[in-house]
Amino acid sequence: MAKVDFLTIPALGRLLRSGRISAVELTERSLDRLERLGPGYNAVVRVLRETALAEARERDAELARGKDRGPLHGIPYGVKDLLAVEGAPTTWGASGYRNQLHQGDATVVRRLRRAGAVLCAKLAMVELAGGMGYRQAFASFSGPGRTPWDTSRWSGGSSSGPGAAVSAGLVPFAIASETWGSMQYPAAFCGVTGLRPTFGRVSRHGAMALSPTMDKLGPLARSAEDCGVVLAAIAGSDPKDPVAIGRRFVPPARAARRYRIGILRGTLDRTQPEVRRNFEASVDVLREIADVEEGLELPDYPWDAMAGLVLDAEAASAFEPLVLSGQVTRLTSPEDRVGGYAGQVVLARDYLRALRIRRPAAAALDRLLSGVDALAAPTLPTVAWRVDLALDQAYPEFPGGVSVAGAANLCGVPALFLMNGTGEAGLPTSLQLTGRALSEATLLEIGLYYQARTKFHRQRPPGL
Amino acid sequence: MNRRCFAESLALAALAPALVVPAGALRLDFGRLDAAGLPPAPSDSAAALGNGSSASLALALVEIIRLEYGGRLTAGELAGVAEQIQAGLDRADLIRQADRSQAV
Repeated sequence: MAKVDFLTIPALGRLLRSGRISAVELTERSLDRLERLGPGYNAVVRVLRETALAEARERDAELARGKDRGPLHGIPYGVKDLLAVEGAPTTWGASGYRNQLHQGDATVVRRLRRAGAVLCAKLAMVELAGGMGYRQAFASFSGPGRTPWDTSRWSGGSSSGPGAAVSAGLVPFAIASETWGSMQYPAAFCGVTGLRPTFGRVSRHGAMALSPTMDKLGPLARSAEDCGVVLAAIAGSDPKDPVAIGRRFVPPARAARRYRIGILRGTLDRTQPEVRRNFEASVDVLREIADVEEGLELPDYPWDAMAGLVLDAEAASAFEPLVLSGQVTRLTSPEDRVGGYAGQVVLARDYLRALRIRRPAAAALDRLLSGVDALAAPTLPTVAWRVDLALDQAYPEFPGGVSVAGAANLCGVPALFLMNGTGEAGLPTSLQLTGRALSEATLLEIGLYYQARTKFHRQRPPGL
Repeated sequence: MNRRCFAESLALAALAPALVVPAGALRLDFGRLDAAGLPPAPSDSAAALGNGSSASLALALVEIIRLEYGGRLTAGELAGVAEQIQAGLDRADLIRQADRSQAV
């Protein structure tokens, strides 16, 4: 039964519906692993044992009387601890918020409960989702996130707990967030599948606000198929989040046609040799279902500067009370204790100019993306970094090449992250597929094919 | 520091973008602030800041931070804030240039 801990959502659903395992048994397995293994990865803030078992008992009772809520019925999961859950503190990864209580559940939590999923834990994160400019893996009151592939390496941030918890088989899936990189890094460093949805696909109601025009919520899971199932449950409009859009999302079943995949010029520059090798092997697999066009150019905009300035200004507004009150001095990382001040004097003219240019920039990015079904790139230029090094000291010789990540986050387009092999020290490497707004189904179709062909998503960390 | 002095300081800082003066000349008179326990304007902040046209603005913005929050920042931390402010202004310059090229 050890294999159960690493099964995909559909496989777990088959076990549940055949009566070979109950939701309570499945939940107890998750709770036990969260409590036993979670601390080794600094992945868990709070295990919700009582409420999880109560929910699981109810899901079992429903199945017994013929009520099936769908593919997530009875499936355990965890949430990054920036999502409000009634009755449980929401810490935002920061010691100053250890006892912060919100009334009501975040919309994603409410929707997942309606879909039958069982919330087992609130998972660790970098303090304030990295909004204060952290430079250390230990920038969280729960300690540095450690990847299950090698606990001397970082699990990535800011969704460190969701990445490690899924990777180690503590939960089948977790809800993470990304403003700029916070799903990308944990997905790559922990070797899990991540789907960063289009901005507005998923309501942020009940989530910590870092950058209201860039924040996104999405799943980290074992497979592209699992990510589709979860996104279908959490997507949709929400009167409590005015930017949440009502477009229905239907998870795809398989690759359906021939695709067009683009690769940016310079995307492999200054990447680790193993990352380059695995990326080229991935592209060879993708050529089986796609025409690949290399040498595409990212439109000429100062993408990272724009994303950085928007993030600085919006984070300054979001965390103004923390800075004004002086509570910022209680943050864990020394950079974070002073990182909130510069944002307080971002000029309105500069912020508004960045917002204004974002429109033509997004149109230019969309023109590029409309010529392909996905842009392929290494998710990151290296394997996971050592936890004891400052982030910029980990692999200074491999900063990576041309990246669409800043542009994609600034403009809110989706991306899928897929493990695509192992590199230095046997650590995971990852493939990133970026598409037009609302193209998650297409990205998942490509991901489904890739994972059916390669099986990298089934690899487990050593010893697990 | 009394309210009038504080208001004058802010007004001078607000004027900074229009003042075509070397960054060093923009040093505000915060002697009483220093005496009140605030960190001195970091002596290395001018060096940390760029030599471009945004340097004087950066220095003025740093002074705002020093006035508002200086009581809880060491001189070294304030120098770090100054670097961050300059980095932000550099980003803003890049965006401004892109804006101009769009307009042409």
